[in-house]
Amino acid sequence: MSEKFLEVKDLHVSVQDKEILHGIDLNIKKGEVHVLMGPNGTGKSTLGYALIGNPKYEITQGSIIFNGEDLTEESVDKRAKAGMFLSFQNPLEVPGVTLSSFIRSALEQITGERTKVWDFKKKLKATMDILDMDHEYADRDLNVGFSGGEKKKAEILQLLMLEPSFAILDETDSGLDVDAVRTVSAGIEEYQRRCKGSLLIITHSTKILESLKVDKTHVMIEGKIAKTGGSELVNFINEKGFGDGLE
Amino acid sequence: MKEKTHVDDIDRSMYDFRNEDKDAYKLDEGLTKEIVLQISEEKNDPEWMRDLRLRSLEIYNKMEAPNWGPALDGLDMDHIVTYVRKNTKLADNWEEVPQEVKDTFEKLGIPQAERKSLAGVGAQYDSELVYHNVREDVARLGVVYTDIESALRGEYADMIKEHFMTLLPPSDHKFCALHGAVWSGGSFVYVPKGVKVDIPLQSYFRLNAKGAGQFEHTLIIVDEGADLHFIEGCSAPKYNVANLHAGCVELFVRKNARLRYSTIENWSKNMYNLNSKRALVEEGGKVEWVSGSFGSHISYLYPMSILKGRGSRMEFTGISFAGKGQNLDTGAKVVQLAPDTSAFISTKSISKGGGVCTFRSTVKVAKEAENSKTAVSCESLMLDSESRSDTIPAMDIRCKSADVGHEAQIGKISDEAVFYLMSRGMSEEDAKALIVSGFADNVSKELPLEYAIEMNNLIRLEMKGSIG
Amino acid sequence: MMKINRLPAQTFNTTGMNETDIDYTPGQYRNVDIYEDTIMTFDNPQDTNINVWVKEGKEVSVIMDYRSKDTLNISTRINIEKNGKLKLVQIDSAPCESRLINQVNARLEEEADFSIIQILPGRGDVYTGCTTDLAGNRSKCNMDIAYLVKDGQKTDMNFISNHYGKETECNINADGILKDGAFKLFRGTIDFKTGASGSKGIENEKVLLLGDDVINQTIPLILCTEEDVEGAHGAQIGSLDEDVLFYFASRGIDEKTTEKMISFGSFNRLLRQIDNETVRENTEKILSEVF
Repeated sequence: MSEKFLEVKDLHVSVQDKEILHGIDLNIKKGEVHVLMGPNGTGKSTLGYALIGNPKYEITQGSIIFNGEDLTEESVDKRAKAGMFLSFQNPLEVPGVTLSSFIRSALEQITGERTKVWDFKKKLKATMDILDMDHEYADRDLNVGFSGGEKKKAEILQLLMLEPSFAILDETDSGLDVDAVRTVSAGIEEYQRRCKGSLLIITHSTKILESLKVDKTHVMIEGKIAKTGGSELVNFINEKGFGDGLE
Repeated sequence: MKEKTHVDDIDRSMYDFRNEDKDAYKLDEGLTKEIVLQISEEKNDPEWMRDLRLRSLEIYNKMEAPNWGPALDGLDMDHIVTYVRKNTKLADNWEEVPQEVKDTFEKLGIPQAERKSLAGVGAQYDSELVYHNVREDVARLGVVYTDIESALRGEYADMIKEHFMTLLPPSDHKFCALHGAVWSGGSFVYVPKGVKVDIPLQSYFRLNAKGAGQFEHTLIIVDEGADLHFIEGCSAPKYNVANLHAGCVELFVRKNARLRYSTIENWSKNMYNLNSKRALVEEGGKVEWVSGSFGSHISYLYPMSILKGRGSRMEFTGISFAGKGQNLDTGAKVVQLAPDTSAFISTKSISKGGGVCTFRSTVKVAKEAENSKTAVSCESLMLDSESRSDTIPAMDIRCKSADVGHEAQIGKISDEAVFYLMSRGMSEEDAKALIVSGFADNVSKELPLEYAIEMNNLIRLEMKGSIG
Repeated sequence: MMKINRLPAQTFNTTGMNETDIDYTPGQYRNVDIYEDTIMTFDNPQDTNINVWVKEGKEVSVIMDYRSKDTLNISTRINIEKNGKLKLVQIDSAPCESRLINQVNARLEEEADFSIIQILPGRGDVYTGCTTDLAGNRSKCNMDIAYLVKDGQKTDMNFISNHYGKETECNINADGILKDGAFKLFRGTIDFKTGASGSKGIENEKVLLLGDDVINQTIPLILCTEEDVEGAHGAQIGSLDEDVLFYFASRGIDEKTTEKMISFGSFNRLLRQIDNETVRENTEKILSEVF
């Protein structure tokens, strides 16, 4: 049962009638960490959006089976309730809605239970501490006026609070300084501890991977998985890039 | 006379020359039933047209002039000559056009442009067309481009009757009614199904007579899947009494057809330009307006697009430049009636030397216009503090799936930009002229090259003497 | 018949936006003068003229809480002297559907600062407006409005900022939500008079269309006879942004809840600015009932 946790079969995805992904196969087991690398504009983020179900990304062929359930046709919020999470590369600014009320509302919708205010606040503050976030951010409008690093931390905060069983981290480390990368890494480790969740990490750099045990590495080129290997592939790419070595 | 005015007059010399109108046939000043009947007789109108004229006159007498725009006090209809005809016949060869009239159009560069870059030309002098010609290869495609009066009597008579003043009924506003009563001249264009005319057709309107009105009617039908670019140019010499232009333009854009209608208007600065333009666009069709308003004393001009068919579209790109003594009230109107329609309005305006520019628009998105998009953007430039610039855009949105965006900006020429250009050796005047031309490039880049150059020349002329 | 909310520059009569007629005849006005921090509650439909006097260098906060069950007609005149500061919060918290006629006229002297907040949570028809004369150099005003219109209600607004002084600034912000059968008309004008050099004016409108049969009318004006100014206005009208829906949904939040949160959010911005806790909590309660 746990063998097949996320099973992506022959996934074809189009944006505005242009096919971006040409048949992706991906199997992620419970608790596994997979890394997705590849040159810019090759479809890595598209895969993230297609998995979580962005309506702009049309699945024209193939299927997404998650926890034994076929989610290919499901709406975004159903997928989130089923335990999927996407950390956005550029999360949206939403004036008027505070970070804490956003997380609380999401939590209530996912669990179907009302949260106890006091418990929620306590847990939120403790989690913010792990991420080295000022508590004041909880009452600020969602991502409004947050720096790039704060936005990424706010995404990881949501990951830790919502406790999904599978998380896709889309370039969560890009544009961050060394300290921020370390904090975000600590957040990801905490996620693994808390939820024993699976991860699909889309990244360019390896810094974020240093403290993680990577199970599999996939290299995507022009909308296809060109190569899959173990953690050693990360180092290989670091040295040789995405060039001929892979073909 | 003040020095500056003197300079302005010399600058406009290319447009301001005028001919004596002693050998012209002219009706009396003012507007009476007798005059309207006389025009009708002179034109040998069919009965329905005569009735339309009389009905229009009645409406005109009952209707009030608009109470919201620039003042029309200087316009005294009792002294406007509604009909002036040069004693000449309509020619299809410039050699047959009387020397004096031909010289006029030569100076304006019309025959040269025709040879170089146009598929057909119509030239109107006062109330009547004096020249009309369409290139043979274009005519062979079945494209009809003729003066509207011969069309009224020819094989397209029914088509004219079916469309004439249906988009712009005399009851629309007072000057539409006036037009219905005394209209004269203008063009009829029909582009048959599927025919794409690659090079533009042009009409040029010249009002030479003093204290006269020009009331030409333009009727264009672009049939299913067809494509046309039509260019309209206007000018007049300057007199010290008011002239009036109250033309009507009715455009029918059929299913999947496209029509681009470009205008460079450079009436003299004693002109009351109360023009009406309207397009009806069917399913999948598109109308594109490109409009430059430089001349006239007072303008009321708001081309309207009715997006009737599913997926029909409109684009409006406009510029107005108001200098001394000018009050240009311009803009656009759009009504979105069907699903998936889109409307983009982008305008710029420049006010200088006491000139007044007003951008005025209305956007209506009906309940039925699901998933329609609308974007309005206008930018205004103030060149001094004697001038005035107003932005008055109205929006009425009744469909919840509509997506409507609007933005407007007003400001002055950036001092840094002027400084930068001057540090490269440009004079202040040239630097400002260059920046203003750049500001106007939304329109100039939509025009055929010759017209873009003409427009930039106009801007340079207007910018002369703007320093100090 | 009362004529109000006249557009400072008239336009096509067919738009119906030039002016509004209200079927109401005012009776005897009561007069109230305010000089310092005040919370006023209006429980009865008494026509009232209010004069707010902010003396030189003083800082005053006024809250007007409109709770009348019947038509309430309030006209407020404000004078802010040099360096004075006024924060005026007006809340429509009528206990049932009732009509509100609310007009404000403010005059600002040198470096005066005026902030007006109007919270209109759909308690019946509303006719409201504020005309601010920025007479003194470097005077500033902020007009911030949040409104909900629902169930065939009508909200008719007219906000005008007249810039006379040099280096004056105004910011007009209106956030609204329209539900089934709502009619709303927003007029917003920035008027730069000759001599108002160095002045700035910004106007922003956001309208969320969440119901059927809505009529949303907007007419944002910039009038200008001064070269050295910066003016801008923007309007966004439509249903919930796809990206917002997607972001919320990706966290498991369904469309209905997203609508509620965003609707509440457009009021939340203003709620935070109410200094009085009791009034704030009461307003919050009203809003949590409607959303």
